[in-house]
Amino acid sequence: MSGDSSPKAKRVFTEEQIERYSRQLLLPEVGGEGQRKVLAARVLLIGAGGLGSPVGLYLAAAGVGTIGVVDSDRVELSNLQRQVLHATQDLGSEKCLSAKATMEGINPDVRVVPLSIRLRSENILGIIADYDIVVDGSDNFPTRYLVNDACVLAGKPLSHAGILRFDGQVTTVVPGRGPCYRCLYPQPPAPGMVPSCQEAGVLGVTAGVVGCLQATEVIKLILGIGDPLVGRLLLYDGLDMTIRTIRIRRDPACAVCGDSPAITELADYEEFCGLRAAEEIAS
Amino acid sequence: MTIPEPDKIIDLRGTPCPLNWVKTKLRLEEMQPGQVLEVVVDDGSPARNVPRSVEAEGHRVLALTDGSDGVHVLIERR
Amino acid sequence: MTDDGNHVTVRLYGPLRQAAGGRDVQLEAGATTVKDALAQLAACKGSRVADMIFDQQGAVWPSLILLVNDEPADLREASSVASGDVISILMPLAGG
Repeated sequence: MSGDSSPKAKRVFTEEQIERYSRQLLLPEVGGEGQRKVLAARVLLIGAGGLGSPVGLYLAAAGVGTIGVVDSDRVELSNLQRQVLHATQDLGSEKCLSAKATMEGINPDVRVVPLSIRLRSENILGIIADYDIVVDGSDNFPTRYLVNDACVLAGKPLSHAGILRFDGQVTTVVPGRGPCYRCLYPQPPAPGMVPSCQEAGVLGVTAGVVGCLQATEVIKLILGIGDPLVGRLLLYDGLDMTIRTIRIRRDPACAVCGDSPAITELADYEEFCGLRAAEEIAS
Repeated sequence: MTIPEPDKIIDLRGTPCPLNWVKTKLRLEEMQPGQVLEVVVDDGSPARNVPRSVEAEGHRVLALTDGSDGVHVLIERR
Repeated sequence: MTDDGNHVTVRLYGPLRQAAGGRDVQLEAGATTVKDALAQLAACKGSRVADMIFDQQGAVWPSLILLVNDEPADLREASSVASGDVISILMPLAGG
C-alpha cells in the first residue's frame, strides 16, 4: 500500500489504484479526497457470517484500508447457503482467516485483521478502540446488546442490522447524534420469543440485501455524505418487496445513552439477560 | 478573450476513457479555483468525453484545440 | 353498505406475522387505544401471539416497537387510535 499515512502528506494514488477505484473516483461525492478517506478508514466487522460477508466483500472492494474481523467460529456446510465470504474449500477453516483471504484477494490495498475471539465485556472496549466504525453482524441478542453498549460508551458509530426469513431491520447508531439500539429495544426479548435463523430459517440473499445496506451506510459514514439511518429504522420485507423507514427517537430514559444512564459499565449477557438488564437498571 | 497560460499540463494521450477524465478530475482537485489545467487527449471519444465530463463536474472548458499531437483541452478549475 | 364500525388494522412484522398467519389483521370490534387493539389481537389470534405481546403479568413487552400509522406510540398502550389507523408491531431480529 503506497502513500504516507501522516495527515499532512496527501496520499498519491498508484496507476493501479486510479484504475481500480476509477468507478467511484468518478463520483462527485467521492473523488480523490473521498478515496483517501476510505483507504485510511478502519472498520470492525463483528461476525464474518451472513451479514458480515456482504459487508466484508463491499468494504474490501471499495478500498477500506483496515478491516478487523471478529469471529471465533469455523466454516460449516450450512453457512455456505448465505455466508458468501466462504467457499466449500474453506470448510473447517477459521472464519476470520477465510474472510481475510477472500477480502485481501479482492483488494490487496486492504489489510484484514483476523480476530478469532469471543467478544466479552472485558475485551470489547479494547478491541473497538482501534477502529472508527463498528458493524454488528452478530447472530444473537447478548452480543448485540454488548456491542451497542460498548459503542455508546466509547462513542463509536455502529451499523446495526438483524435478519430472519425474508426480512431485515437496519439502523445506524451515532452516539450523541441519535438513538441507540436500546432506545429502540430497551431489553432483549424473552428467551424463545424471537426464533433464530437456525430455528425459523433465512433466505440466504436476505443477508446479502441487508448486509449491503449496512455496507452502504458504513461508506456514507466514512465519506460524510448522504443521509445515514441515524434516527431511522429501515424495515426490509423481501416477500412483499417493500422497504419502509420509520423515525425513531433517542429515549431520554435510555439505560445506556439516556440523560441518567443506568449502564455505565459493560456486563456479559446470557440469554436470560432480560432479567439481568432489569436488575442493572434497578441498581 | 485571451487564452491564459496553463498552471499545469498533463499528457493523457494513450489513456482510455474514463481513466483520462478520472486523472483530469484528480488533478483538478489538487488545484485552486481559478487555476488553469491543460490536458492533452487523443482524438475521438476522449476529445468528446473529457470536455463533457469537465463541464458536468462544474468546471469550465476555456479552449479546445486540435493539434497535430492530439487535442488540447484548457480547463478552468471552478 | 354503511360503515358503522371502527376499523383498525394491525400490521405485523417478523415472528408475529408468522404466528398470526398473515401480515395485516383487521380488528372487528372497535378499539380506541393501542392497548385495546393489542388485547383484541391476542384474543382473536391465540396464545402464541398473545405470549409475544403480553408478559405473565399482562404488561406489554417493552421491546416491541409500537407505531400508530408512522408515529411511535408515545404512551405506548395508552395512545388513542381512530378508524382507519394502522398499528404496526415490530420485534427485534437477532439473525446475522
